[in-house]
Amino acid sequence: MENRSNRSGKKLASTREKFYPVDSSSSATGNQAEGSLTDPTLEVGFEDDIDQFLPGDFLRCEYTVNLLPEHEIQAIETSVIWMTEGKGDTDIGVHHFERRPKQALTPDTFKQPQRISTVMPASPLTYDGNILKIRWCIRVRLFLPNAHQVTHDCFFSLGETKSFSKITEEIQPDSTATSD
Amino acid sequence: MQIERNPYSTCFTAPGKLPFIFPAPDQPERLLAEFERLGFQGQIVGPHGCGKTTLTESLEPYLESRFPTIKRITIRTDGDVSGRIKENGIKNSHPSTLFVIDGIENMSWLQRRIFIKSINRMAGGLLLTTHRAIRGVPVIYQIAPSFQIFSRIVSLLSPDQPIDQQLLKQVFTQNNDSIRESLMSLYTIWEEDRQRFIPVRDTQSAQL
Repeated sequence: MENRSNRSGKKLASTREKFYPVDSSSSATGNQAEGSLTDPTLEVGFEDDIDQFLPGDFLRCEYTVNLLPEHEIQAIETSVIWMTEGKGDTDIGVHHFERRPKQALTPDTFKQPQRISTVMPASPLTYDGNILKIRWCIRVRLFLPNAHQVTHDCFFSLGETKSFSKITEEIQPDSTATSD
Repeated sequence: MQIERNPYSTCFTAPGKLPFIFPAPDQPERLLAEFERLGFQGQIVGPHGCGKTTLTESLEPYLESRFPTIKRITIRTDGDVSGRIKENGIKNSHPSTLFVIDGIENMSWLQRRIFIKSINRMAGGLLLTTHRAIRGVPVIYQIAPSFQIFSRIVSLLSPDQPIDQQLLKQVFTQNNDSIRESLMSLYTIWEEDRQRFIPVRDTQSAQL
């Protein structure tokens, strides 16, 4: 077979932390956004710490970007999204989206908390099923040089959330009731 | 009430979400060196649900320095092709393009031969994944799923919720050593356990 490794002078990048040996003691999980200690950090919080909303409610939250002097932010994207989780593929719907490019970012952007606000829609409501779950979140994404990103998700619920077992309890007739 | 996240949901276990776990620490470097030595032609062989796609996803960051364009194509069991291949695929490719093809064994022998030949002519590299080795392309890695690797994946997914090793072994065996199917089973077990414990937790929180 033809050896084509010399077709280009470019070499492969060296392997880093993406691979794990089987006996490694590190505890990285797929649940966390990737990031390193030297990345900017994000804090997101709801007004009055309220993280439960009803359709038509006004959602208000704030986020703060903590930067070091060497950090360079290319853009900030904020969105209010819903997503499905479960055994199948993940669906995502965007309810609110805002992108602030580098030109729109001022020193104040990083000194003061920035506000996100939107009126919540009628659906889809937060749902906690066995096979499928619907979750809402506020996603703040920082775009750094070299296509690097820092993302923070802050979850909340829309509508009155009941567990699957509670719903089944409610729709099942009372087993203690006697009939004639 | 905030929804608890099932750590075995597809959004945490889909290819690319988890790192690929090698049995030995120096294997990634050896695999990449072998792929380069063979002129960026190779196939990764392993049974269903063992992490072949995850491995190719994990290799991508290292291959990007050599191949600015990486095209992913999946051949489904019915022979259908997903990924951009017809519109602007092979014809517009050049030596800086690497084709990563999942499930090449789902193509017929003749289709496969024509397909690989045309990609070899146009692209700079070809990385295949398959359940069984096919002729004409060297095998660069053979994945052998093991309980040790499965257990490590589970500890990565739920570091704060240790699971009884006996149960894990049972799940792994019941699913014929398929890591993907075993994770699906753990999803169901987690949901069943949660449903069992939720009424207790609700009562406790109501008492506080």
